[in-house]
Amino acid sequence: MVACFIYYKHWRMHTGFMYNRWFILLTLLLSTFFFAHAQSPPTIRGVVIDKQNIPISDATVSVKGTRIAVSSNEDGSFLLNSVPANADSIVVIKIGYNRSAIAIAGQSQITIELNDLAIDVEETVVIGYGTQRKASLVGSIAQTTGEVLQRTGGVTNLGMALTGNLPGVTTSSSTGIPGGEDPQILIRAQTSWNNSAPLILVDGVERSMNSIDIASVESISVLKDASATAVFGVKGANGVILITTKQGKMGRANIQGRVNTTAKVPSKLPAKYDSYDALTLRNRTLENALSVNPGGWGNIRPEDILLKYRYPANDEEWDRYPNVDWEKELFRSHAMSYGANANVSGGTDFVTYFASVDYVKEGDLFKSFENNRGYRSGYGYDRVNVRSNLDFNLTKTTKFSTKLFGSNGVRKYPWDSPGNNDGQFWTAAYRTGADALRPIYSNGTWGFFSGRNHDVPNSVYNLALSGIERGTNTQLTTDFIVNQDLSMITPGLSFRANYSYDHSFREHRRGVEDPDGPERMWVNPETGVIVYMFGIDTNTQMDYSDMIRWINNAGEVDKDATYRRVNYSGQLNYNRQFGKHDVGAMGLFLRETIATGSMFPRYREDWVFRTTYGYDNRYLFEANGAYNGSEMFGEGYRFAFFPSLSAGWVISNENFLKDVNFINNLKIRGSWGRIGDDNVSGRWLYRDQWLFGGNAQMGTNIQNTPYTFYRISTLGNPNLSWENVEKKNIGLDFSILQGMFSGSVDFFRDIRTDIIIDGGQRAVPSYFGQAAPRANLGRVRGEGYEIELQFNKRLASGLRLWANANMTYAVNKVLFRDDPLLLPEYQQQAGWQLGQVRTHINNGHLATWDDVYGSTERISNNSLKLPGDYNIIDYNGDGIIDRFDVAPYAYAGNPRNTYNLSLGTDWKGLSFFVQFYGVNNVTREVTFPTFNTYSESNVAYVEGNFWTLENGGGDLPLPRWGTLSPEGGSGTRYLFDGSYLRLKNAEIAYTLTGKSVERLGLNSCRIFANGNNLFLWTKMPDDRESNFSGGSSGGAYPTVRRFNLGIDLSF
Amino acid sequence: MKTNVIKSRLAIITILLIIVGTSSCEKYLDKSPLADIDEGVAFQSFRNFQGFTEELYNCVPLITSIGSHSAWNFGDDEMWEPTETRIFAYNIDHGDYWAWNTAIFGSWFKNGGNPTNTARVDKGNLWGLSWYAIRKANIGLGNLDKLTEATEEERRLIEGQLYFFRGWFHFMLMQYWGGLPYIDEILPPDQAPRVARLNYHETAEKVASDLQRAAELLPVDWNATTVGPTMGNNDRRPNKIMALSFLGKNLLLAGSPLMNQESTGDRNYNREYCIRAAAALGEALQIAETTRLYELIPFSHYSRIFYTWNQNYAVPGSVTVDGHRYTEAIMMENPAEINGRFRWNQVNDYRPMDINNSGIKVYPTANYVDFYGMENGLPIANPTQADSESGYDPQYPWRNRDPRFYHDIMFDGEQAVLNGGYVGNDEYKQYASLFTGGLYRTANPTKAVFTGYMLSKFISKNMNQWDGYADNNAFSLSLLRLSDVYLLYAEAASEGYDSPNGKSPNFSKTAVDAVNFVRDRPGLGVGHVHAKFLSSQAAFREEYRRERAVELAFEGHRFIDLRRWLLLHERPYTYKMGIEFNRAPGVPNSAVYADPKNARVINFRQTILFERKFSARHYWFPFLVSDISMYPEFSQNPGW
Repeated sequence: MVACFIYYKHWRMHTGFMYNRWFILLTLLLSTFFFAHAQSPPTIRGVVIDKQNIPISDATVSVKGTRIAVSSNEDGSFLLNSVPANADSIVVIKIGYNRSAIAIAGQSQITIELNDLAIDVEETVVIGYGTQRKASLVGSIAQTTGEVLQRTGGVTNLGMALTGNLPGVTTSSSTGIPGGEDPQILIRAQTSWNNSAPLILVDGVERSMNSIDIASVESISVLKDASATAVFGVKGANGVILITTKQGKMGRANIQGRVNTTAKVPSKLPAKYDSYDALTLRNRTLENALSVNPGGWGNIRPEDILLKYRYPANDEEWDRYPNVDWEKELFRSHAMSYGANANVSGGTDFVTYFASVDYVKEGDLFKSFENNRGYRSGYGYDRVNVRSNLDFNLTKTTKFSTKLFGSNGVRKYPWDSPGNNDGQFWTAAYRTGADALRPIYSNGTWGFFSGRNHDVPNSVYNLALSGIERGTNTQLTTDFIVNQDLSMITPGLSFRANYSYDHSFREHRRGVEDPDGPERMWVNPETGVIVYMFGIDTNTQMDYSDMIRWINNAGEVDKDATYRRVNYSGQLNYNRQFGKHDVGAMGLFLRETIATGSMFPRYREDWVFRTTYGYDNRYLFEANGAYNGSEMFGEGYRFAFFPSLSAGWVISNENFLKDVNFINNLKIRGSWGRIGDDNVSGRWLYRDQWLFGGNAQMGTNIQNTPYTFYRISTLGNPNLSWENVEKKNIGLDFSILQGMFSGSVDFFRDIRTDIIIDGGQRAVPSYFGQAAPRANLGRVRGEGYEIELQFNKRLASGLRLWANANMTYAVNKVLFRDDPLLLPEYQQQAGWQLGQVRTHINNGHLATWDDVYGSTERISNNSLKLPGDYNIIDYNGDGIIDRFDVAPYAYAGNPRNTYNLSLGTDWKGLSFFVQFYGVNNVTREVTFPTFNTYSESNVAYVEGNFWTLENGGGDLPLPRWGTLSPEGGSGTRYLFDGSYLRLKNAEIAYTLTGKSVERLGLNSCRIFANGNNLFLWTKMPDDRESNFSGGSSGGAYPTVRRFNLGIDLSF
Repeated sequence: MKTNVIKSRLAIITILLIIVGTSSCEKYLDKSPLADIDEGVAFQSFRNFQGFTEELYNCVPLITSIGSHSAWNFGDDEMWEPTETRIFAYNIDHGDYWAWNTAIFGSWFKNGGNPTNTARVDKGNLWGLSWYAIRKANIGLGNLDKLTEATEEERRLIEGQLYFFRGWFHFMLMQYWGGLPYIDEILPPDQAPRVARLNYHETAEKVASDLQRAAELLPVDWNATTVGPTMGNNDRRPNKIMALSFLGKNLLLAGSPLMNQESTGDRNYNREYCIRAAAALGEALQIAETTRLYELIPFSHYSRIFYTWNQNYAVPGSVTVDGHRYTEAIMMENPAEINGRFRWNQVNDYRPMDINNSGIKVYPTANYVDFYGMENGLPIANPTQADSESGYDPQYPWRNRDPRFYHDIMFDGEQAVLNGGYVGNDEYKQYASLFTGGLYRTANPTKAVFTGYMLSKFISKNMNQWDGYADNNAFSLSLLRLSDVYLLYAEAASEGYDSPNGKSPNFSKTAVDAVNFVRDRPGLGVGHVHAKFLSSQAAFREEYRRERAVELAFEGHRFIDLRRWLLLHERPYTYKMGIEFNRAPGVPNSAVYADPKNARVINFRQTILFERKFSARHYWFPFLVSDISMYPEFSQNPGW
């Protein structure tokens, strides 16, 4: 933990206190928390109210021309100290209201009334390498604030919190593993088969967002079009997410604390039958298939045996005929997570500060099993984050900022299994039959499934004796920034230099390694014979005994995970107004060195510029560009210029609309540009890579020969270059009726050319003998639109109603890809969307034996056709069902449409909101086949009604047991409509202010209850949006629903 | 004031210049020279070039232990659990040859595929590793001129290996896929190659040419070369005999009915190819007999051809008896992880659950076991009928059989567990209870011994989960061994000269001599080919084929043989059969256990367990759809 102390200091502003000032600066750098408080007459008191006379809190009240600023209290009051005698006016800023400036005119008590306003002209948006006033923005940028993300019901992963809150951003989650919930993020339409993840920058430097705590996020900007992303050049094509952390605001120290407690419940897992039902189904299946699998007779179990599974007479029968609900055996009813955060912000005219400590503890859904070995296995995540952002005004023109961030995240997991894909610990919940084995038999012996121990695991055992490991990620990021106002050279010019150094390392293998297990047993239900895993030790002729071989390990640094990044840049900014002409320019030079483990460092170099021109706040023009390169590519292909041009027309500022009262803002904007993408794995792709190492083995007792291999590991392509995206965007922003309704519409079209294709995917025959080099052989178009509508109404009673709805439609189409030319059109990638699902298509069932004999021949297992099987369509009509009958079906794995609707209200201290999030036009493969995954597991999923000859109805063929389906037999069975609608978040909160809390020394106190992923409506068998963890049949650590209770305190 | 402005401007400009001046864009992103190996180095000296070449050995496929439950007998010889759908053999039996690419267990055609390492899971990829090796051989041959620091002998060694492997890997592929695009140049990486597929004969000619050149370049005995002794054990290295043997095998296959039909439309043997095959095989055998580099291992040590047990994981294939080293294996599968690979999980697959509580089970079919004839050399005409000529009697079906039967096959009453205490002294567990209704035949129905026989060619008869034979064994399959070469010669010489007495002018033995030579293995002593099989080539054909079936049983040859003889989809070769019988009443079990060979049984009969439904397309594997969809000159095999 971080030792910290609180330092109070009162002092007067005197130039003679320079030494004192440096002393303070030093102290600030060394310490984490700092409070300052300025106090000097003359003072001005006042209150900020709205038109209904309701006090407005948190308005920023500043003295114009000075750095004196405070926030208004809950009752709207403020107190300005040390107001210089020459100060002439006070400026009040509050989001959602008009900016207001009031002349002081000698008053010491002022009441300021703010008008509601649709557009806050001062509102700024974080853009690449800078900020811009929203009013003059011409790019397509979505922005949200940390406050919004904090409502997400106990979610601790920043990526997960983005869902639905930013139009154009699609997230897909796949696992609920503590500390590893990162979703896949996509901005607008995917236009590459390579890595399509956006570039993520935290405070301007490429950093992982998974360790960032939501409480210290000020804002998140998503840059979508060319105008916004061109400055990132070769890295910007997939869109950019900019995360800005909080900074101190001038004024009184504001201390905030938050604690919350979250209960997590496993969300949806595939439903399974119990032993009796599953084995009954198996009998039906075997009976149905007897004609093609007479051997199946041997596996039919009589009804009186089946009944024993449900009603065992004694322990012996219970052991022999298990009926295990694996979900119940493995998971708790709920897991608890906790979070706590404290931060302080404030500042004087010399320094502003924001410092925060954040603690997160993610609990484990798995039960804690007793293994009599002195340790408890399982999962968990504990994270402590510390942040201190300081801004020093060293001179009148020089500002020096430091941002220090440290994160210490400890993940707990079974020994040596840090991954998301280590299924043995949860596979049983998905795939182990209820009848396979008992996790622990009545005599206390662990169970195992003798026939298929590996495929049908006892996850209870696996987890209980898995050992335990703690993997600690320690991350330190530092930024040192100097801002120099250069108005002495020419007004409006400033210079910014940045040096960032990030370092993170990982310690792992701390904990208990437990390589050997105790004896395990299984009772063969057919013979009643008890099978022991080890039985008699052949050396000693004694029963197997479990030796004490578990080892305590002290941990070691994971050398391959040590990560360094150095980033430095220099930037010149110029912004000036000449009458009606707004002129801006920015130029930046940036270099980066990045290395992980023992690799040769990667290098980056960027040259960036931006010019803006605005005329009379009506016509806006912008030209951006980046000149940068990538080490991936050879000479002549290494550097390029990525330009963008954009323009905007603020119609509402035209004279003919000036007098139209109900229109507050109307703006049309458009942009064009070219961005690059080199986001493929590998390095130095332009040249062949030779390796030296490895030996052949020979000899009667094999050993290495003396000759070590030379080999070409990778073939290079000297003509390879990055992917190019031409992005076009046209958008409209509006606000009417004093901001009651506002919103925006954006249409976009991206054409990505020169898409890099992996050698293995190229139309290069296998006989080439090696992975062919990568080549720029692909073209994809992505297009769609985003609509965002906001409603905001404050009623006279003080009741505020608000709503925010957005939807995104994003679709792509492969225009060209190095497809094998002779493939039929419907099997080529070109002409279809990326990730288009393809399958054998079924049409009804083979309803009779006549149908079976009369149906089209299947190229494999034709003799295994049965009545009730799907009738598979001979798509190409060549008289045989084979691989060429696999045709496009439904959609792809990424949704085309995403919808979000948030509704909220607040009245006095009470607030309430719900957020619905849904997607459609998406197809997800979830392959949980009854019986068939692993032949000896009698796991049966609740799939629907099975078709049989007797009932003639039903919608699914009976499963298979011990026979394979004929070619294409499962048809579209495991392809699910991946649409869903979630009650993503809901919150009810009450804020206490006034005397009742002041007595406790508080400014305010907010109590809230919220939840995440509360309801789900879907046809999918489980609650996952994608299969990137555990695949489609492996299952994953279950995703969760969260119920969260918390309290915010403000001092 | 003005000077101040200029000064500060200068300062800023200087700072900017410094920042800019430190950069030189292209160089900044260049690859560090430390991260690289100069490509010329690989070809410079013998040592390096041999290192470059040596990776080809790592590409030799591993067949029998690529993971769990490897399958390599796809003919009528074995039968896997009939309800186990994950085994490649299941896919084959049901006609799904696509599974060479997708099977969960047992396909050594497309599993793993890292050429550099020595992990067994990466060696079961005939398709990928062969093409990799061929490319590498071509690169080597194309850069031979860069080999400057080597003697002429060393240069010949490298060139010989490169030619050998280029031909050999093509040959391995064409056994399953037929004619290929023959790759004998370095395909340039900057264009998609479009090499036309050749027919079988054209491909075989290219293979023959490469193997012929290898035979000319390679030494007979590596240990006799200057560098040989420094290279470590040379058992795996291709020599002149190996090159000639594969040359002969390649030509014989080209001359076999299937291949001849593919290229010429004639369903008979191509005599010309057979004569050429006999010449190559004859030359190989002649050198082998002269040098004694390869010899048949005495029957007393027959197992050592296949496996070693408690020999510190010595690679089998050769044995030293009375101070003389017999080497029978000419080329073996990849030795990756031979230290224990057969233990996990293959050994478990050969015994029923009663004595080995794990594994997916596989047993030899009764119809195949019938190929094991009588000790006097006569075949069993009908296993359910007594035959006075051969002496076979279905009441004593295991009496006086070919000694290899007793080595390779386990039958009713044989002792399966040495220490009865391990099985609670249950006689039906300790001794193979393989009669109808016996414990081995009934417990765990899907895994029980459905054929009535168990395999003991590659593992001890006492392999079970207790007696220790599961561990410490090293099993390695010979891709070519000496008795195979004799039998290939017998086939080539007789078919080429259309007579059981056909012979190649360069070798002293006739076809029938070669068969009898195999039966004369020291200590084996199976009767010679009976005169009635010498009356015509058609009659002799039955006998040399039966000899192949017995001598090379379960070694992965049967599937290729049935295919090249165009018998795969003909009955009775489509059957998988089991036996049913009862122990004769009145014979006490103890008498059976004491002498199972002579135990009397009744009601001995055979049942069809499964019949494979094959058609013409099942003679070749399909090529990957992606490969044959690129250009018309690379066409799919018919029916796929």
